[in-house]
Amino acid sequence: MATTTDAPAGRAVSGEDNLFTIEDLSVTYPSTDGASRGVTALEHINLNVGKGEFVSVVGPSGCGKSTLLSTVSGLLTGFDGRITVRGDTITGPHPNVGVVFQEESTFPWRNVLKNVEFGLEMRGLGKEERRKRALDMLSLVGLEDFVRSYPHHLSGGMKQRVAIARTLVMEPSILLLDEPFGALDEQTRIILGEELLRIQRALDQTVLLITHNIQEAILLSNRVVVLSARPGRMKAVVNIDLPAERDSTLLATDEFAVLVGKVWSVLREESLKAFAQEQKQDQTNHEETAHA
Amino acid sequence: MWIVRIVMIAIFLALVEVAVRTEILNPFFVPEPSSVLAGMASSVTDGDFLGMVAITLGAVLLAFAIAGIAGVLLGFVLWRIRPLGDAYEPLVAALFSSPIVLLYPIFLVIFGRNSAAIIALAALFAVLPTILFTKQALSAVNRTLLNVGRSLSMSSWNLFRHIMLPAAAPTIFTGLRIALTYVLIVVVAMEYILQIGGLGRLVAESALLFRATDLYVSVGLIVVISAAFIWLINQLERLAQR
Ligand SMILES: Nc1ncnc2c1ncn2[C@@H]1O[C@H](COP(=O)(O)OP(=O)(O)O)[C@@H](O)[C@H]1O
Ligand SMILES: [Mg+2]
Repeated sequence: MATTTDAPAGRAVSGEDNLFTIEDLSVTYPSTDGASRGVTALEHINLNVGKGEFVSVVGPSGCGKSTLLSTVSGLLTGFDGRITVRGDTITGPHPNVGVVFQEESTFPWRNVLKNVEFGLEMRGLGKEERRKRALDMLSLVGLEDFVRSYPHHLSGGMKQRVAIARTLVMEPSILLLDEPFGALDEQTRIILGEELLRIQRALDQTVLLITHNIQEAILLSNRVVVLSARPGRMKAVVNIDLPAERDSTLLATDEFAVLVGKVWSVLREESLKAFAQEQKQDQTNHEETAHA
Repeated sequence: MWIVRIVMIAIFLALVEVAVRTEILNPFFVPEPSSVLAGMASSVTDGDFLGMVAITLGAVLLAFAIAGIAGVLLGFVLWRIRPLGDAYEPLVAALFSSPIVLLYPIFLVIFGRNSAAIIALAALFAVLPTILFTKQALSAVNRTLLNVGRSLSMSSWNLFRHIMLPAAAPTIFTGLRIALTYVLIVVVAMEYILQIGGLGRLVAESALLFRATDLYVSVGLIVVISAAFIWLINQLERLAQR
């Protein structure tokens, strides 16, 4: 691991308070035509996340961030290495893990309230109880006026808030978020981020957040993992030594700017590589088309 | 909404009524809507008429039930077993766009000149869009929505009942609505052509004998049957999305 900044060694993470661990994880997607070797999305990922910790993952697009989330959530099972949640080796979805997906994931046939009630309903919770909890969660994400609306009447950002509420209402002890604020404007993004932090503290949740926004990663996290261009490797782990009680006023401080600089210097290099990869890919595609 | 629809239809019928009475429209071809409505109303108590309605309604119901159930099941199988789907979907699609109705002489030979032939032909015709739309609806279900369910450790049955089915329902029910249209067309057209059975035969007879009122009463009743079925299908769709 090419650690350019603080190594994670500084953190005393013993087996006991590791809520989940990723050991030497590599993922290769099989090729569809069977001719080539397939796409290696992740290589040699090692990460220990302790209880109550908030870890963010940043990396150039296409480097395997969503793949990382799929494996930890138990949805993708063809990988090398080992993932454990509370000591259990992951072979499928774990009831204590909640996931918010990058893609649009609200159910179009359910209104906002019934979307948020979905998981509770599937767990067999009574109508009164699940309604109450869903309504509480909806007011937390600022959707109390849209309880009866159907998703197709909502903006992309509002739909994403519904998806977040649907996962949070289950009160999972581990929360996995894949660019959950991607479709939101900057202000909403910051405010919802603060809200997420508040909920995470209140429920003592452990969070793995995938984002392409450096500020967001730093503002919310205890640690920021920077992945390399594809295949994604751990390029750096930056400890965020900001006070535990924090809000977006930190954005203007020098300390914050130094951290942004630290993360960006690594990410910039990898993004340039990813960009070059993409152009090369485009070129080969072009040549193949020209030959055909 | 209902009120508006009914008022719009009433206004249209009133205009036709005036046009016929003032002989702007030839009463020989277009009967007064009031007499058609009266005819439809009295047909309810007329044994002969009711018998015809029952024959047509029965044929439509049976053919649609066969096509609907078989079509959804076959569509499910074609989706579930990939090789089967790859092999048969193009075939079903090709048949779907061919004029199967023209096979009716063969059906007459097989089933005889009776309602069974009509029902079989209608069901065969209508099963095709049902298979095709069901297969495509299930294949097109968004993976992310399924992943939401899987991440909640839902059972396969619950995944199917609470995510697959409601997500696929709009397309499956579009297929069923097309199937209903086919069933109605085939049943009524065959009754008309073969001069057997219910309302289709009555349409033919009335036209032949220049009984305009009876003709429109029959057509009106066919429309009522069709509307009733559409209502039924809409209710089923709601149930699937619950
Ligand atoms: N189901 C899949 N089959 C084959 N390749 C995939 C699949 N999903 C993702 N990939 C490839 O793996 C790489 C990483 O994808 P992903 O994890 O979605 O990246 P990110 O979320 O960082 O943008 C990409 O090159 C992508 O094309
Ligand atoms: Mg992604």
